[in-house]
Amino acid sequence: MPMKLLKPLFAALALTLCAQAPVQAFCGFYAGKADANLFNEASQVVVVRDGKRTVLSMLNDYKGPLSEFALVVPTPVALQKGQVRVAEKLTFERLDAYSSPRLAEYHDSDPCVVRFDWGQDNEIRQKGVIAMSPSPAMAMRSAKENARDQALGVTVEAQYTLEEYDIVSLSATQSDGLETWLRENGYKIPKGASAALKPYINQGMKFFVAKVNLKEQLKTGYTTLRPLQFAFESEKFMLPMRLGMLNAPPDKPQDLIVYLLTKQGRVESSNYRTVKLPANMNLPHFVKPKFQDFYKALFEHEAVKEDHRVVFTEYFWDMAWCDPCAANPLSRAELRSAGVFWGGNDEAERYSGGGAQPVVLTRLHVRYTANTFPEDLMFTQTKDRQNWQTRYVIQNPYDSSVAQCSDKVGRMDCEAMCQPRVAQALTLPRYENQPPLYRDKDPLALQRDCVSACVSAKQNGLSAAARYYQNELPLRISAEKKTLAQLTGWPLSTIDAMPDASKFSSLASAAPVAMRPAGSGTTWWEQLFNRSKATP
Amino acid sequence: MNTLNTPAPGALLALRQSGFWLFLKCQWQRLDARWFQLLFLASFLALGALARDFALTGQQVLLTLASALLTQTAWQWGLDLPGKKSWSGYLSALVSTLGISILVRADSAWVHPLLAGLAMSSKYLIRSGPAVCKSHVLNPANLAAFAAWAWLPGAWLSPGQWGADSLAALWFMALGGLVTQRISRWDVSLSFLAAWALLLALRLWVLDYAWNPGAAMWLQQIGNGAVLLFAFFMISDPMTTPQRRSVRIGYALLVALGAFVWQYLLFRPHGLIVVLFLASWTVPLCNLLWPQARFAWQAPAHSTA
Repeated sequence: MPMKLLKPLFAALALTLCAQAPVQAFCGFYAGKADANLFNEASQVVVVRDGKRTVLSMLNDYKGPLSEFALVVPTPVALQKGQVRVAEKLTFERLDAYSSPRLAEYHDSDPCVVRFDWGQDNEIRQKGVIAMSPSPAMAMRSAKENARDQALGVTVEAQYTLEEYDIVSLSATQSDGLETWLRENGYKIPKGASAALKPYINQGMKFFVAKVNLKEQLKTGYTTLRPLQFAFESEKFMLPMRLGMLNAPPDKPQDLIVYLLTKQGRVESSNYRTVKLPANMNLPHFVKPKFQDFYKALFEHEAVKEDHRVVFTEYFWDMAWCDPCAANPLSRAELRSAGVFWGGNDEAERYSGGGAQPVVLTRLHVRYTANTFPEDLMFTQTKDRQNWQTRYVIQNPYDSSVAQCSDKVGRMDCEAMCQPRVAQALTLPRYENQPPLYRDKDPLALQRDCVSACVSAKQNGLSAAARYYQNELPLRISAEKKTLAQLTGWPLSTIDAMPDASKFSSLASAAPVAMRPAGSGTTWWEQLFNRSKATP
Repeated sequence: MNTLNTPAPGALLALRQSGFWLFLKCQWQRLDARWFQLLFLASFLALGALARDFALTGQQVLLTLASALLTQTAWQWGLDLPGKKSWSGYLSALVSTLGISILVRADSAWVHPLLAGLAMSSKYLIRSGPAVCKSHVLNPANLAAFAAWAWLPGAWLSPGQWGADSLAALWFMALGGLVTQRISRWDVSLSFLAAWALLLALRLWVLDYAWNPGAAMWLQQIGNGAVLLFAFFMISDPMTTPQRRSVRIGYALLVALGAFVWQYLLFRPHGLIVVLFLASWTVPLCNLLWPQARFAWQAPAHSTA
């Protein structure tokens, strides 16, 4: 009988059961508002795994009355008190912040640069600033109760109170019995639970059931429920998500974010397609304040395109570093609280180059429906150690214009600027290796050379600015807008209507400034020369 | 030669009655089945690369091709084989190139060509069996996939890469190949698929899954591109399966059973690849116990067992 061999099976499925209260929409593990910033109904799970050893944490951001909260998790063995702990929500927040999709921001330098080096050995430095915008689981039973449990085929394997939770580990022989037991013990479980529980019972799994102990909960002082963390050994590398779908309509998409911490390499699904989201693209500068909206739209667009049938990779990176860092890598202590058991003090020492840990973090994001994910999510660890992230880039235009450049350039008086340079050139000792530019020339000739170099530098600066504002920038922004439209499905008209969208794109006078025919009013060079002459 | 009894429109009828038709039919039957295999695998690769964003680079494919062809040339000429000038061996290098490219993923450029060299060399280094059907033991693509998973750093297999949808066209092609007898060991393919589908259905039945989602789970498990590829182009390799039909059908059933146990009862990854690799070593023994003349690529396979 294959069932015997199925014994060491693990499934970390969680099902929120509502006691007493009518079944509500959030009643189901994967239907909590997990990441308040971005995805309204995202559940978050942390899986730490090496070999058979697994540590699993589940964040259930349950918002209803605490007296009505309950959690059912199938486990490979009956979890004893030492195998369960209450974890900190902060761990999830840290992992989320470290691995969330990020925007890298760069700034254009001023195109209106007058490289007037005559008589000087200047180094022109360009500044590039990198900025990040972070974005975004009793008392002892009486003889009478024991007899009832036996009749239902349910055995209470362990029973204890752990901080704010009352926990029971159950084994069951029949799903009807388990369902009846849960109902008799005050859990109102969703319709269809029995049929969904049956395969897990047949696989020989035990059930971890937790309720909130209101007295203890008051003592802790926490207003929200803290995540539960389990440690166990199992060959099976998977996350049963099917039970959590019981309450949801079959076509209603739900979000699940899984953080997997492993030693060897990236983790992907072995029974669903794992897809990288489109990333490392340049977006228009004005999308910065709307980055979260952008990412939500992009994710929705991709999820619909893939018909909610794939697992998306959002991030995988060696946890020793990041670039750019949306948040600092987790410290050794933080990794241990996330469940990284090999971060043990001895082993960690060997790798400790500035808090470095042999940990690869994979962040998977699934938007699924009951119809599109008929099977529990199974994983496989690859040997892929190429870091990858959902990173988007904005390149901020330099905030100026041709007119301002013309103004700036116009205020430069070549004659006046040249006088001290010529004077300095004349004081230079006549070394053999003196630049031939100055050699054996009289002051007038030097002044003439210098002014001519200055004028052409001004001209170059102005044409560079003209090229940048009238040609390069509008073309670049137009391409970035198209990328944005493709990624999000937003119509171009919506994009054009965004604040600042037209700031640098409407100047599109395709012809470079130097090619403009003279005669149409004052040309830029007339302006340039007149002013430079007029200025004393 | 089967006759075509169905009435056909004038032009087609004339064609069928002409000697040209007969010529085409004979050519088709004499065509090396590996041409079909190549066409099929190329479609698989194209689908994967274009529509399934395989993490595979053009450079990896080209290096694999170069390595497979070079290794094949080196062995053919190095051993001074009688058929060293024949193109037949290169056909198998092409098939292996496609197989390795489709199955193996790596984070560097050296893994694929190394595997191609290893796979092509194994055809000459690991040979066994009775004189009448002495042959290489391992299917080159199977060896490469196993080695990538078990031995090489920076290499892995990606069984979920196909998804379970939109493979209808490939199934259609595979079945088309079957109907036109372009799949060399269709008996193995079908026995394996039947056993695999049955075992998976049996598991869901024993675990007492409801019809929904049980049916969808079953389709998801058997509809996978990896299963299709394995059934029609790996386990059906005529060189590395037992030569006698009854024996190789039994072989296919045992491979399906073994892979099922590996994957669904022991929860270990890549059941099909691993179990076929292990089972291949028993094929020479099967051929010794139940001898049969060896398969040849260039004649249509007519099993007489």
